[in-house]
Amino acid sequence: MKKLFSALLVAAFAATMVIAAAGEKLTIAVSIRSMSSEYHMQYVAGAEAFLKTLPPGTAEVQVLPCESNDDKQINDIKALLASRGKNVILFVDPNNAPNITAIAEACEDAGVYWCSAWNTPEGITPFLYEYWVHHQSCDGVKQGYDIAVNLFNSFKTPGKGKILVMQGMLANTANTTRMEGLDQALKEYPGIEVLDSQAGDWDTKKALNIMETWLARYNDIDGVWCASDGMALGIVQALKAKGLEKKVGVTGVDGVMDAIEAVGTGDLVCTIANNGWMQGGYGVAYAYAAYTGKISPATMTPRERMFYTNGFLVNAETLPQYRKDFIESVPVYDYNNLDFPIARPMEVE
Amino acid sequence: MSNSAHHDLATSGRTWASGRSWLRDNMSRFISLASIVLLVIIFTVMNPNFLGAANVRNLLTDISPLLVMSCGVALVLLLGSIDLSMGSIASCSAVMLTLTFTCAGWWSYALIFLFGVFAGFLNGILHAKLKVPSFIATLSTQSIWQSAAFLLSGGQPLTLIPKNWGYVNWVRAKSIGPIPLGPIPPLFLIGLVLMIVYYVYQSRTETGKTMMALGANERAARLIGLGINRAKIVAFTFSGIGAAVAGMIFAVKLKSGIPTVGEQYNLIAIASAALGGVALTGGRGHIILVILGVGLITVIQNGMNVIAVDGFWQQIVFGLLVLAAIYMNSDRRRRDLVVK
Amino acid sequence: MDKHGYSSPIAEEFAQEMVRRNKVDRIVAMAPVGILLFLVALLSIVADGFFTGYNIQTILGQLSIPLVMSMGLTFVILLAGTDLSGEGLGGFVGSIVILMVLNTKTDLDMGLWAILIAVAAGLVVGIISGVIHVYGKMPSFIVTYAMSSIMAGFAVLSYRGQPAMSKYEFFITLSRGRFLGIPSLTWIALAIFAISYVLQERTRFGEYVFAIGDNERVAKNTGININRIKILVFAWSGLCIGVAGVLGAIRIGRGEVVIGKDTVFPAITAVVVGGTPLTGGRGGVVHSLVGALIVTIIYNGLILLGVSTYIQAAIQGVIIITAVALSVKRGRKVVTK
Repeated sequence: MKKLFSALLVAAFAATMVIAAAGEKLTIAVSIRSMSSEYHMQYVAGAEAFLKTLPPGTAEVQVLPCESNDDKQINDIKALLASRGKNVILFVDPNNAPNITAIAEACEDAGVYWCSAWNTPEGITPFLYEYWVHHQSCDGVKQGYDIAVNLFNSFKTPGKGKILVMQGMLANTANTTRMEGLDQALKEYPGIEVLDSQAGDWDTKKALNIMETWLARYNDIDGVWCASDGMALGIVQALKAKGLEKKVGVTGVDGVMDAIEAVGTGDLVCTIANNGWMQGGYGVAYAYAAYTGKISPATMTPRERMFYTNGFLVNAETLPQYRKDFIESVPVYDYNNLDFPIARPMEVE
Repeated sequence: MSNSAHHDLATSGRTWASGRSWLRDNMSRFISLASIVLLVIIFTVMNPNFLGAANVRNLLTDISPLLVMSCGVALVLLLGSIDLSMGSIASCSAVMLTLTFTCAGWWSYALIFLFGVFAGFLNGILHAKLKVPSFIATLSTQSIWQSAAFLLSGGQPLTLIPKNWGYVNWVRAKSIGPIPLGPIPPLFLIGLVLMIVYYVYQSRTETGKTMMALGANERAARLIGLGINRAKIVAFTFSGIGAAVAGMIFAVKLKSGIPTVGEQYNLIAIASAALGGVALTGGRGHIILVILGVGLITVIQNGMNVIAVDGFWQQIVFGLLVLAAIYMNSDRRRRDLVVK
Repeated sequence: MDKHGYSSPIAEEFAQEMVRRNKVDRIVAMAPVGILLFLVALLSIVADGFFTGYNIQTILGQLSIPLVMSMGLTFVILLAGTDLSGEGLGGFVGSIVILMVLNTKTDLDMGLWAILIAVAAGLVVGIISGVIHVYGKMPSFIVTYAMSSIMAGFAVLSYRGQPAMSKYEFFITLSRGRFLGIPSLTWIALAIFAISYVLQERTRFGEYVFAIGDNERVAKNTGININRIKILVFAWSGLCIGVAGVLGAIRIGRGEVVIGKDTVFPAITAVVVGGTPLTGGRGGVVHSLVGALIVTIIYNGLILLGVSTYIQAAIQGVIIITAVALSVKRGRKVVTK
């Protein structure tokens, strides 16, 4: 009985795997934190949009979620490289900046073209590696700074008030860069007092619990600097329960749909739409161009190999423009114009 | 003492009345091995590159941190206890190793090893002397070491600066002196060595055998006069060492000291030990076979990427495969067996 | 055969012995209550805003999910089993319930039926876990760990990367409503507590759970249907996780897999700190209520005190281990695992 059951299990599994088996096609791999992250799924949508511009059957998109596990991110990429030979290109949002080093070495060894987004460790740049086509980023520090300044200026007395700080995950590069921006803003605005700072772990319900507790202690809060949309929505829930929504300013980052709506209703002061669709789409487009030989990292300009992309700061004023540009008409990108996403070059020390 | 406790205490000494009973006892182990072989065959048929040299080296490197962690926790599981602090001990070790290279050079490895001894010893004392249940004791030390990791790293994911890469480049070595290693990476060798040391200790020394006895029937072991506290403390110390070595492997492999690097691995290590035949209630298990459980989990993880399982389905397929694997490896022969 | 279908007076005698022992342990179990009172007293003095009406309501609100989860887990742990499925299953239930009520993503508007279906889903998965554990003779740790992974995958699949937001008025009322000063969601949790208490103290099911946890081999020999009880326990745990998932979804107003995250270990801690050891056979739901209160209050207190995020975890750890070290049973005959 047991043997029959095991045999059936194995057969069923093998059957499903035949369907999923990879063929001769090019694999466009996108390595992200998790399928549960709305922002990271924008990369995937972007890659799939790029895929549609290729002749059908040329390639397919494969997503590698690492579930916040740095070791897994690298193991998964290496497994992919080992199995596809040169038939793969890669777009990576590293779970933490230090992961880049191992990924760069793996891709270099395998001779696979790849692009990265957001963060690289100090001193490690695409210029050191032949197969690392480009590194792009919204400026994380600037984002933390921009939402802070936006928040401070939204207070009754602009530039003066008490805030709470809701960080993301501790010791996570996306978090530390945004916090750096906040610190810069705090230096420029001495009238702002920070009451407390806690880590919400990018978790909506954790942020809600913390906010509820904060409300028990602090009666006089002007705003909450929050490092992500997911957590911001949790904070808004807590505020609504006490009738304080719209009276306490809240910021977010990522630009997910519900957050944009919240800016519209006034529940959020601002958020930054990073446009993962563009980041993912062009990241993959660049890698593909290198793969097909259309461009070559050795002959690319520095500007093309390390650049900043534009994030769209969405607040009450800019919302109509955002709606016009991104919601009413979904942008269609020309992936042949590789210059498009470049806002400005990144400086390398 | 019930009959099966006698039997359990006796099997740790491993004497068989006949060849047939040896076969029966080891059947579940063969099945464990068979399930890995089966999975490997399936994945290789789907994608021949699965067994290519590059992927084999990947697999063996991937296995290494999990292997040492699982062997360590296996000793604790033999006691009938649990260790939840390994993930943060590993994270803390990774952070510390990255930091100490600058001032201690090659001695860093020894230093962090000692940290593992200390952390494990602390767990053992809290559990054995203060009589705190291992779940609570290790859950608490987990938070303590996690906080330590954050503090030491200044809340940043640390990169191993290129200046110190000289201390870690040995992981890419393809030979030891004149002996070529082939597809076997040095990190895996470390894992093997640790596993063999743990196995020898557990099966040949009095303290080691006491660990198994404690899991089978602690009251009986006490009546016999076995060294209870010593066995418990040593088991937790070995688990701490395993975690610290795993952390060092992470640091060296990823060239970074990220304070959350080990977080996810705690439960995976326990699951691997269980898949390798170590009973979670204690008293049964074989350290060498833990590698089978580790191998299973790693083959599943690795294989899913090789055959391009859709991102949305990866967690589902992983869970299903783990269920299938534990089903095939569960010991269902004995009718009076209590499974918790 | 008595009306429950169990035969043998020995079974009843054994089961009653367990209940008697449980009563003795109840006195020993006062230690966690002492710790709870101590923590409340300490925080009232030291932490600004702790003993205010709003904060007490906040604590009660935050208590609801750990309390419900620990009700299910208490029975599982009494059996000396483990249920790790809460993380994935809770996330799954929370995700689908929002998709079924009036929301921003689907056209469904199933109201109360959605709650029923979602909780039923929890129950069904619990039964499946129980069946696989019992008939596959696989350790509950691994079975529920695998289940968690599977259900987390289904959760994310259900909303395909873009979570739905709830527009259901009743949910909003529930999340903010209060009755006699206690948040509505907490009343639901207390109702689950009441049901659990009745199950534990007034049914043969409860007696048998203690008996199995204390000594499974003996319990089996006295004629108790072990398999059935075990499956029922996991079913109950699944149902509690389902309720917790719905409560979580109501609280945050969205259906995301993160609803289940970080809910299992605090609940297990609540059960163990309250006085139910992982080896089973002793303790109970009242213990777990105390434990859940302790865990919630510690977390609340640390935020109120503004403790640095880096060391929050460590302080929680130290408090927990101190609490348990003080209240643990000692003596030569006691075996701690």
